[in-house]
Amino acid sequence: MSGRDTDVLVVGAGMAGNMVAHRLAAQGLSVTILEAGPRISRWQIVEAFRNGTDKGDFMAPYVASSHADQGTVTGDYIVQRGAYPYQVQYIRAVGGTTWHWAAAAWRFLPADFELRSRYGVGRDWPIGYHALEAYYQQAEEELGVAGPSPEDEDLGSPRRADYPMPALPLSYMDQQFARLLNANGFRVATEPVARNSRVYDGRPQCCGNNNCMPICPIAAQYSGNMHAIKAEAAGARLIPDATVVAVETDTGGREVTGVRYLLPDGTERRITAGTIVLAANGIEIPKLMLMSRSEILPNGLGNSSDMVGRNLMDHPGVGVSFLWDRPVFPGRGPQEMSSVISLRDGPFRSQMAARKLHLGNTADLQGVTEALIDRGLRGAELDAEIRRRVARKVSINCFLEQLPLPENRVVPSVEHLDALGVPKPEITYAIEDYVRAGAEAVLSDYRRIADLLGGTEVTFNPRFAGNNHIMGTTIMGDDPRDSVVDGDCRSHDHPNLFIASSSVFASASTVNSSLTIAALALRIADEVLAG
Amino acid sequence: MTTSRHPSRRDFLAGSAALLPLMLAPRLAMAQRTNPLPALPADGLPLEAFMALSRAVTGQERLDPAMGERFHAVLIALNGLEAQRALYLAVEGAGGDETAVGRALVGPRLEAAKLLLRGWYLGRVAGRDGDEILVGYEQTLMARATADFVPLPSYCGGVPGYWAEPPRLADMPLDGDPT
Repeated sequence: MSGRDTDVLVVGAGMAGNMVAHRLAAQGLSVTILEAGPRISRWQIVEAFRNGTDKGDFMAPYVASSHADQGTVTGDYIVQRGAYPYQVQYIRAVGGTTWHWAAAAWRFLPADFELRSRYGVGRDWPIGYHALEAYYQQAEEELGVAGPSPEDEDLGSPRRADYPMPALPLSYMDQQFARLLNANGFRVATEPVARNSRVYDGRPQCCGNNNCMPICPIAAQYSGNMHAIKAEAAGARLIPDATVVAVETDTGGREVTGVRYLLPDGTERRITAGTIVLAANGIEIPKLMLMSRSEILPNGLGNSSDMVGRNLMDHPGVGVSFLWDRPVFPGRGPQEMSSVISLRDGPFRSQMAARKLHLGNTADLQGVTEALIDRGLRGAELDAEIRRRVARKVSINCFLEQLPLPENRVVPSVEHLDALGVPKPEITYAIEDYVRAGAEAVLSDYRRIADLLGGTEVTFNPRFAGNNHIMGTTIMGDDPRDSVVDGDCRSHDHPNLFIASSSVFASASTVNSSLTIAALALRIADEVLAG
Repeated sequence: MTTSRHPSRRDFLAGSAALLPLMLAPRLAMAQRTNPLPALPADGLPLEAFMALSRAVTGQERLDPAMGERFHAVLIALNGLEAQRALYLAVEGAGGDETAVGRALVGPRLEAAKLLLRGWYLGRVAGRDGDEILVGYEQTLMARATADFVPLPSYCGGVPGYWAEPPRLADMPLDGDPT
């Protein structure tokens, strides 16, 4: 270790950081992981959910530590400055935000890496799909992804091998949805998911608890804490409740040398490392980099391009709900099983956002019942109407592809500090016309789908909802003048600094970011091992 | 002996097909006469009376006693029993005539009835500061009303893959053929 405390220091014990740590520790490197939040247990979250009053608030069971506040829609940790609130939820605890997720494990499409050259908008990635294909497969094996065989369903992302597990059977509702839409010009696909369709990696098969968010009670669904367990078993040292406040460099400002972090009581500690991997999500990473100003680096760490914190993206979504013309029984099985993928790519991307639509598989038991009580129903009439509506009420949501725009950004707040005196994230954000045009098209599709399903009481929700896919804020590119990391996720400015996060994404695509994060994390580990 | 915290729901789901008629049948026929409420003491609303009122307003003969005890305690803490006592007197005055009960549920009495229904059906009631207070989850009446086709979130719904088939429905109205 040449006098350093650790060979590799990982900041953030979510899925990405833990996967890097696990692979490196397994190869014999000394690895330390610092995590701002605490260790949490699955059973505690399950109990908190069952004893909670707002079962629809996925953050409610994850009570923030006083020293590590977290992203919520209702809280004041995220300081909003822009035309549109960047509504984001993230968990600061060992395991990170994959404690609650739909577990959708899509690969990007080849075209997603070439948005600029194919459609004249956004940016190209410096790496193509082919550079990630093998890592996608490894990531699917690490997470345990169940998906359709390529012979049965082509999801548009070429693959050399089958998914590690066969797809879970679609719910009765999803089957009807696919049948009707596929016969009418849409393309509905089985969603690949990090959810066990058989016993896998020491975890059980999904038995349809319908609680993927906020917590899978039986660990049939992957969550990032699993690689924390593996990393520690392989010899990595994990320090929870350790909030990193600065990354330090050598006097020339070239190599990173270590970090300073705070304990919950405010005591400061320092740890030195040969390589640092930032894996603390797309808001906390750029915030930390911008906080790490020094005399030699007045713009912050890795920020010679002035791109750190900029190009913030998400997958804004608009929604619809309606009563299907027959009982289809949502709420049986996992919470999400199929998606409309017809509009993930096409020449229209030069004009408007691509999008993926997904059918929710949850029963709106609370919402339906509450509305009927408010209307004055009771007794047998109330029960019958609850049953009639809950068996039919479906909702569809979507992910719209957002472009990387420098004005959408996160910075450390000057005025607003958390309990440790650390700046809160301050976000300036807006929804661009490219996304709005895509949303208009989605609302038309929703109308058509509702008509196909004989929908009544059709309710559109055109207000953009956040989907917690925090992308772009340490953007990847070939040119150090307008990007933060290169195609290997290595800082242009600091050769021993890597970033494992969706913050490196140069385009958003239309799918959940986790599998691509995982693939890039494994690639980073190999890069570190290669020296 | 196991001491699972939520045995009733699990047991219920395990044998749902056989048990459903038993669980769903003991509903009072709301359009007919319900059992008149017993007379109240001079003040307050004892737990037994609260449960009798709850049965009359929900139309459910069997309500979970532990949930009722908690709901009653929550209402005491919120100073909410007086409104329930007024509701009780109105329902009592209807003498078991359901139509008369319906006529009596106006104004503050209707609001009191809705609060009662929210607690029993949703398992939560509004607290003082805009917060909600938990009354129950597994034993709520919304869960009971749909237990034959909606697995309660966080509980295993059956053998893996059960969701590929439409559910076996109890003898309750659904207004439609799933096929």
